[in-house]
Amino acid sequence: MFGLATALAVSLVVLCALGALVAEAGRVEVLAELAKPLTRSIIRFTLWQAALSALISVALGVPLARALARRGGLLGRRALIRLSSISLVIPSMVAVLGMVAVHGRSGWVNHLLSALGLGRADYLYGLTGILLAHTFFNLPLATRIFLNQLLTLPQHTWNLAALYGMRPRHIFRHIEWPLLRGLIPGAAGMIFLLCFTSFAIVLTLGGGPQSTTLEVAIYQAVRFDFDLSRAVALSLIQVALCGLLAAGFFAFGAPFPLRPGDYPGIDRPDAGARWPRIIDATVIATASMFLLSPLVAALVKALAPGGWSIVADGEFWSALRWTLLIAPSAGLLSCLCALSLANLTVTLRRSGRVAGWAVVPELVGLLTLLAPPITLGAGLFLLFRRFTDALSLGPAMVIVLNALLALAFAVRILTPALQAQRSRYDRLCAGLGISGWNRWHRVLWPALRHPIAYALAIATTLSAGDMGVIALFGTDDLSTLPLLMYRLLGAYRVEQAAVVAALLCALCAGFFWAIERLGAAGQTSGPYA
Amino acid sequence: MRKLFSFLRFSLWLSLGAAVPLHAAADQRPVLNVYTYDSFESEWGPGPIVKAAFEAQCDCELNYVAADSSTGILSRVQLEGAGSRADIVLGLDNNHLVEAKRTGLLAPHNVPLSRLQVPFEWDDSVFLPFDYGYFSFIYNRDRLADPPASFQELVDADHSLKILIQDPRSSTPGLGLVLWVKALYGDRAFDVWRKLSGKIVTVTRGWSEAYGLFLDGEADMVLSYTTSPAYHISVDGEHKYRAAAFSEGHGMQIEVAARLANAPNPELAQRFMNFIISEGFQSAIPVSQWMYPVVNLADGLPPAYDGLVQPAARLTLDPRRIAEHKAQWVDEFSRALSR
Repeated sequence: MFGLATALAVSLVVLCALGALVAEAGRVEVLAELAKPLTRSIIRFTLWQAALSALISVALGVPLARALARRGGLLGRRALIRLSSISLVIPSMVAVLGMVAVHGRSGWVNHLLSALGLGRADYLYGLTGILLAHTFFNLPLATRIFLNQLLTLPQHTWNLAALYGMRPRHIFRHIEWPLLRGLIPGAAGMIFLLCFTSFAIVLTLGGGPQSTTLEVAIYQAVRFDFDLSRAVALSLIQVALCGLLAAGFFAFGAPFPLRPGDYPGIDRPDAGARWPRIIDATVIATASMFLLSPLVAALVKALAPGGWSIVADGEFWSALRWTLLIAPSAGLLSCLCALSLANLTVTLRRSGRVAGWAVVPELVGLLTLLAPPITLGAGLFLLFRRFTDALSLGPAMVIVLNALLALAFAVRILTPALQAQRSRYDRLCAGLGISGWNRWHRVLWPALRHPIAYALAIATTLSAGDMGVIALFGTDDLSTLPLLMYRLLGAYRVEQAAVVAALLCALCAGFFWAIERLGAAGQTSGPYA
Repeated sequence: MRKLFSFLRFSLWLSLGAAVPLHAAADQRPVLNVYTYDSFESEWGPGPIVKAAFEAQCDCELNYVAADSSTGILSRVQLEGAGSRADIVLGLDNNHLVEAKRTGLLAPHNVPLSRLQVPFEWDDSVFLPFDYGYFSFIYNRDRLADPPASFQELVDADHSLKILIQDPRSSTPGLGLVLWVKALYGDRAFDVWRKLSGKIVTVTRGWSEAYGLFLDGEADMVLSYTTSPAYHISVDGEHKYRAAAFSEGHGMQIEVAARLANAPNPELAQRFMNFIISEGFQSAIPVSQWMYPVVNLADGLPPAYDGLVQPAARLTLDPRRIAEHKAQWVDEFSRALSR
């Protein structure tokens, strides 16, 4: 019931937003927009950079996952995996700052190059910068998906492999590759979609009109030109393209679940050989360097004395308070919506007759990943300004939109968990007459507690780092830490921005840690754990 | 479970704490909301000086709402519609006049234009100029000994000469450059942009980003104003930053303000419009906005303005022609840089 209401509410919000935009714009000419050479070059670039990002992340993710799977006892392995599990929620502005500090014209790489007498390399702005930042975000995601799968192999497979005397390349060809192959379309598709709609990275590292994505073009149409009909047309193009591609990807490969958890090391026969050792060491070292350097660089900048003056600024405290209000509220709302959508999906799947309809709530969850937040935001704003002072609704709208944006992830986490638990206990519950609160509290909650906490943590931290929604609604009175960073970077106060970045990261880590701990605490005390 | 609840309660308290208005003890004076761009409002811009000077005579509070770009000012008011709290928009320029008027959101300024002392004709009844200047590329004399002496030389220069420019869709200097190129080259503008594109390090959203990158050594030249060197001379006694004089002439920018037809405080808004061309506002312009004032100041211009480049010609285009073709010219620029 709740599930149906949520699915309706979410689709209603999306449709109303689009409707309000169309009403304001008067007319929408998707075909005329498509006919413009500039629009076509934007679409081409959007597809191209997303495809390259997905390709690079997957191509590098396979060897990295393999290396991490083989090196169970490696020092720092746990930390690296842990870090990669939060890469998804590292605020994009923090990553951008780190990228500039490492790869910018006066960054570390260029310092190193000129110290070696090689001159300076100018590669950050434009396609390279976008690909670097996208790989930074998505390589860990790809790696974790593959690693997850590699570690599902039971020990006796490896014992057998050892018995047969399989060499590393045989192991790859006959054991690992068949296992990973099926995951590649799904993983590449997910990364493609994330990069297709990437906003903050392209906005800051794109280097101008030569590398504009649809998402950025929509932002510019609303924010700079106030050309709403163009914004709607571009949004429809984006949703249609994205939807088609998503359908294509998910038809090829099963969508994989996002799972929390640790990754135990497994005793593998190919761990001892010399070449794999060298390869793994190189792969892990290079990846760590690439993934850690931006974060370390941002931290180093934050430690410079100049930046801390920002803490004395009222702007900072206002942004901090808004972040503390918006992120947990959006996280909670998102989690509740995701839970009811997940429940609806599972109920439909188990219903037998109408099982086919189960894709509907799943699609609703996905829809929010495709629809550009700027478009939704502008539409809702136009809708509400008819009834009330829309500016005063800013915070509420930022919360709702952030909740919607995090929905796709929360649904991904909760649906499999709920599915597992319900297929185990639904019959038993029905037989014993356990229902309502008792069923929820005694049967579902103990097993869902951990995934719910994980979903809440992801949704909260995603919202804390959001730039897409706040970019539209931000004012002097309503700003969050990422927006403050963007403004400070714009005013070239990099050190102050770095301090805000460090505090934002600390806040996100705090949210994540606190919420996940709360979830984990229940695992030992629940009756069915 | 209990822990989760206590956490939720905790976050709820935090949230309530955040929701309490920052100025709890707000006074009862009326508030004049001026929508402007970030660098006008910033602490080193003219914003604070203008605010203090106006508040000293108006018995009101002047509140800036800063958009992240010049064009963002107007789109923000458009998005907010009739319910907007904006009284004044300040920071559009002569290249946005027609389309800004088309929004129907603006009202006449009612200020006698005879009081302007400017080297150009101005007869607009809605927009009031508050400063003006000439676009120019700024270079560091110690790094670039031999800057281009004309726009054509810049276009033909080797690609090792790196420049920083602003995005014409978000920034007024950025648009100014597109129009400057258009005024000089007309139909050949696309090819000129193709030639320039290899020299462009990056296209920034606003002026301050580009200028910051330039000062950090990221390029040889940056699009700014002929008056920018005055800042370096006045503030840090630094003479190495120069404006490159181009023999064909320079694009001109006139920055303007207007009051909103639906201003919540129409009388205060009118007083502010009158204040704009008074000494209190104008004296801040040459020392914090680093542009030319629109009236003759009692103390004249600061000495740092003495040796500045005077443009060989002032290049402007007809506002109606701009309004008609702007989107097309900006598309042309974008396409030239996209390939």
